[in-house]
Amino acid sequence: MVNRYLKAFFLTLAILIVGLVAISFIDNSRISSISDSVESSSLELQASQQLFLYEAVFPDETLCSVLNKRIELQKNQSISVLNEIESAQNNSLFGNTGLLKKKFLLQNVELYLLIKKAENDCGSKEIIPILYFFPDKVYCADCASQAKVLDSVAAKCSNVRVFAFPTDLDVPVIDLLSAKYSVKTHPSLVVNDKKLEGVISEPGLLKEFSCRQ
Amino acid sequence: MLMNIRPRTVLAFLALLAVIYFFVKIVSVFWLIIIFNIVLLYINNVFIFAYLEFKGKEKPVPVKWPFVSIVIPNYNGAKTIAQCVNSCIEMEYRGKKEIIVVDDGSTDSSKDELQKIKGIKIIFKKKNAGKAAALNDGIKIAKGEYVAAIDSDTFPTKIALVKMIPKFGDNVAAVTGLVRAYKPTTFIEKIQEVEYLISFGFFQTVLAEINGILVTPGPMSVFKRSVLLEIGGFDEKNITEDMEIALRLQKHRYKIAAAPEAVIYTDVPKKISHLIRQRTRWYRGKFVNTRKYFEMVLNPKYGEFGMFSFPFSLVADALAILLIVVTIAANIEGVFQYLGFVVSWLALNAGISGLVPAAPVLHSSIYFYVFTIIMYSILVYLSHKFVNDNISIWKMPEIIFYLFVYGFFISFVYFISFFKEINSSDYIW
Repeated sequence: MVNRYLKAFFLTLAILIVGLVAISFIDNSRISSISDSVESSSLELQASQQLFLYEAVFPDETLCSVLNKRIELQKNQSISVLNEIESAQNNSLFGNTGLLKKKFLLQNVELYLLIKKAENDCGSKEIIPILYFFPDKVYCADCASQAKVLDSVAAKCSNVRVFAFPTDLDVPVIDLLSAKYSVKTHPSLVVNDKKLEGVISEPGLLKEFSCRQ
Repeated sequence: MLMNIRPRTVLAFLALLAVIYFFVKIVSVFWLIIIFNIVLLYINNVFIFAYLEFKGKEKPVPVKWPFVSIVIPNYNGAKTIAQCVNSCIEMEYRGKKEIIVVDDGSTDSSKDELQKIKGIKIIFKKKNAGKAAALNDGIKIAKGEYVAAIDSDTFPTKIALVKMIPKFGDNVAAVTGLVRAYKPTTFIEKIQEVEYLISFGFFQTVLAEINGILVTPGPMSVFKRSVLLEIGGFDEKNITEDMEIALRLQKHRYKIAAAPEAVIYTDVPKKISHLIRQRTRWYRGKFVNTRKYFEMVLNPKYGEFGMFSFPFSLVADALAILLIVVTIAANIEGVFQYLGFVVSWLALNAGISGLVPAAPVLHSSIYFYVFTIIMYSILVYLSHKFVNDNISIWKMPEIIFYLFVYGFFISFVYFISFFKEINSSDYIW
């Protein structure tokens, strides 16, 4: 009689273990696929950065054209990757995406600075960076709309790079930028050094720069 | 319908919310989902191991055919009473049997229907006093050693009695049959057909083997008349007298056996509103009777009934109530966030197509439902094997609905019943 309660206990335990192992496998594979894409663009970024360093050490005017080309090739899927990381965090039991997120953000900051440096050093104005400031820890319905608009603009215009900068995650450069443009409300956008507050619709945003298909 | 909501109901609701909030914050909703599923799996695993132990063990059959009285309480059952009585007359039985119909103050044409039938005893009551009272009246004048209580919308198969009576072994005071839905045509009925096969087929039979039966189904159960008289008959104030009598028999340490070969057809609710009303009564009855017999819970004196079947059925009920709350708790935030986005997006005037939400990503813990669904699929299979039914492809819609959705529906009704029970003490039949 006691026997079947024990048997059932061990069977249930086995199911629990199998289930948890399966879940940890699913969680890990979910996170590692995002991690791979972050990792690969990180290498690209490093290559561009080294070119800048090379230029700083051995001044060479001809490097500008190479640099511009590289920068232009450098794509980022800022918001979508951020969403993926977000959803992996919310939907996994074991995965911790904190580090991955931080790494991704730092990488974005770096790309933004490189674009700005290319603009300053080589006078290149090909790429239009849009800074998008939003809170990460609290939900904001307008930010969800704004992100959707930005996604669609980024898909339409090949010269646009969107940089999603959460203002509450203690990333030093983001804090500096948000202070520089005195960002107070969410969402806020910065396009061509101009700050736009509140949700900006797609037509409204397209007026701010020339979109290259 | 406006209900009077009592302060205690509000208190209970807030307390439940507080408990859930505590668990969600401390343990996280996803661990809760895993724990719920694991507990359910454990309970069902015990049943499956018990089934494997008893499968194929035939018990010696006493070849005695004592006098049986069939008591049919009828209240406004004119549509079905004639068919019910006729199927009782046609029931094979080698010993003596008598049929007593107790008309519980029907206001429809029951009287005319009944007077057409010959060879039965009829008691006409002037005032409607409830099914339990009608049964007690029938039992009083019954002459049989055993009493078969049959609902007026129930049609036992020919062999029902022949299969049930031999189960009265030592100390057995009641025998239950296998209740099935009568000619299920609507989808609601077909789902109940699957449900009945599992609960009155598989679970009831295994419960009988471990002396853990919690209910002698109202449609048809056979009782030993002397025991019924000894323990005072059916409780006339109880809304689920069929559960109350089973618990009382357990309390007096009598055994209840099951005869899954004795198939009994009964009308089941055809409309969802009727189903909800029926289930609300059942579940509220369960709360009432649990309170009445709570001392048996985890009381080793009552053996496996006290230590396993009764407490674990309560755990399963609690899980049913919590499941709906946790499911709501897990999703409510997302729903509100999405609504906020809809408002904001519409204000942008950027077209409706942007409102289509991205495909939802499932949380990993949801995969634990896979095990529960596999478990219930096994139960569906076993319970069909019980009655030698094939699971045809045409049965798939209701089986799939049963596996994936019905649990949530039942959980919802449990939730409603729980608060209705707390809110009031007046019962609607």
